[in-house]
Amino acid sequence: MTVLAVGQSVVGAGPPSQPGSPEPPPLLRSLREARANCHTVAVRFKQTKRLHLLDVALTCDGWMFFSRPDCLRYENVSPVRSLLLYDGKKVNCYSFTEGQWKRLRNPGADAVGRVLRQIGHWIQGDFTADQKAFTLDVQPWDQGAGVLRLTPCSPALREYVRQISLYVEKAPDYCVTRVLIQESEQDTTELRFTQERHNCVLPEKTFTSPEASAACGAVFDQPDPNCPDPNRPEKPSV
Amino acid sequence: MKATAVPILMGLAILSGCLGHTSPGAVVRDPVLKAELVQRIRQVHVTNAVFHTLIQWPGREVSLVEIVKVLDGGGLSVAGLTDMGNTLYAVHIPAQGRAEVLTRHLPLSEAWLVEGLMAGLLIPWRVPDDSAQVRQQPDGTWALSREQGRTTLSYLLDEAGQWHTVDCFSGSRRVSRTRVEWDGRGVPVKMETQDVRYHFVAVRERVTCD
Repeated sequence: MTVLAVGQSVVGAGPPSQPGSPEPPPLLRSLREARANCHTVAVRFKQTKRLHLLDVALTCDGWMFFSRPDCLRYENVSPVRSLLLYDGKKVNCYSFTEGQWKRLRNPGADAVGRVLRQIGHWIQGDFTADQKAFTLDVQPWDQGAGVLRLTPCSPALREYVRQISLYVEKAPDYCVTRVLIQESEQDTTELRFTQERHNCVLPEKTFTSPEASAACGAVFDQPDPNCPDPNRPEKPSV
Repeated sequence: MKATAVPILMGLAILSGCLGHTSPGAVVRDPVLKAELVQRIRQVHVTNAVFHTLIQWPGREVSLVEIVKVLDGGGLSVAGLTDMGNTLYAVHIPAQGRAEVLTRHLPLSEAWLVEGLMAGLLIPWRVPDDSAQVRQQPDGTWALSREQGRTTLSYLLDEAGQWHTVDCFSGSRRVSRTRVEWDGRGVPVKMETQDVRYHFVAVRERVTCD
């Protein structure tokens, strides 16, 4: 089943391919090519949850670490500390409770694992793995290369998530600097990414232990090898 | 310790915690004492609060972020979010009337959510007022109790009039006990609820309040 649907016009990404075409849209190809030599990724994020009912925006800072093919560390650092680890085989969920890390016997760990694997695919610029789960629409974005809009195919999943939008910056990096997850018309979760580091050496036990937390944070204190001039500001987020 | 022993021990802990005391205490009809206790008990004036919560059932654990917002007119809005930001539940509670569950992405019943999980969360906002009853505890200390739906909430007081434990009774049966820790802020810094009716323990740590 082909569920890849392509928008009618894609600014900065070339002409759209035909629905059902085996050829991916140019932006997806560029994104994948830009990530081809990227073996590890470390990136900070700011997660903002907007809930219409409460008229509040809840913000959380964290970081994400990735290593090919699909190891991922997703860590909320402040104000709440929690951690999701995927070492390519198994998901472990942790909560920092009563002053220490506690590994949770989470009944939803399998679902969390699927989400982490998806994030891993997206970091690699690979959206083909999600073709059965999402309809993908590539749309123009005047500030960048384009927006990838993923709509869940399953009505059950759409109960939780209506759409996920990934904002892709212009060439040559094609960085995804913003992800917007739309739960309903008014409720959203937004992730904004900064300090993205490629191919840096990751701390020991990054994907297996919560105790690597401090070492993971220290990665962002190191000079970025891709940004050697300390006086040159890092590329700001969108 | 074998993995199977943990849920058994947790179950025993819940039962022992909730079976040790099976009465809200004798009612004391003393208007002067009641006025004094009501005046001393800490009323909560916090309009926004965020908690990091760990819920434990035998063999299962989930962490989430819970938000409470007091609305103009006295109603409450409450929501629970996963660590990745997904809404687990959202509930609107009018000042007068029943809770309206707007979102519930939990494999548990609405009664579990409203009468179990949320009842423990909202304890600071349901502190007894002038309509309370004074009750004397077996150890001689005082409690202020109030009706909440089909249950009675009994706030156990220390000598300074600070509430430190809240028991929830259904008839004469205690169905939950919540112990709180204070740090001088408007809501407790920590609340631990053992609920024997819905078989869970919830540990809440305050993140922010204002």
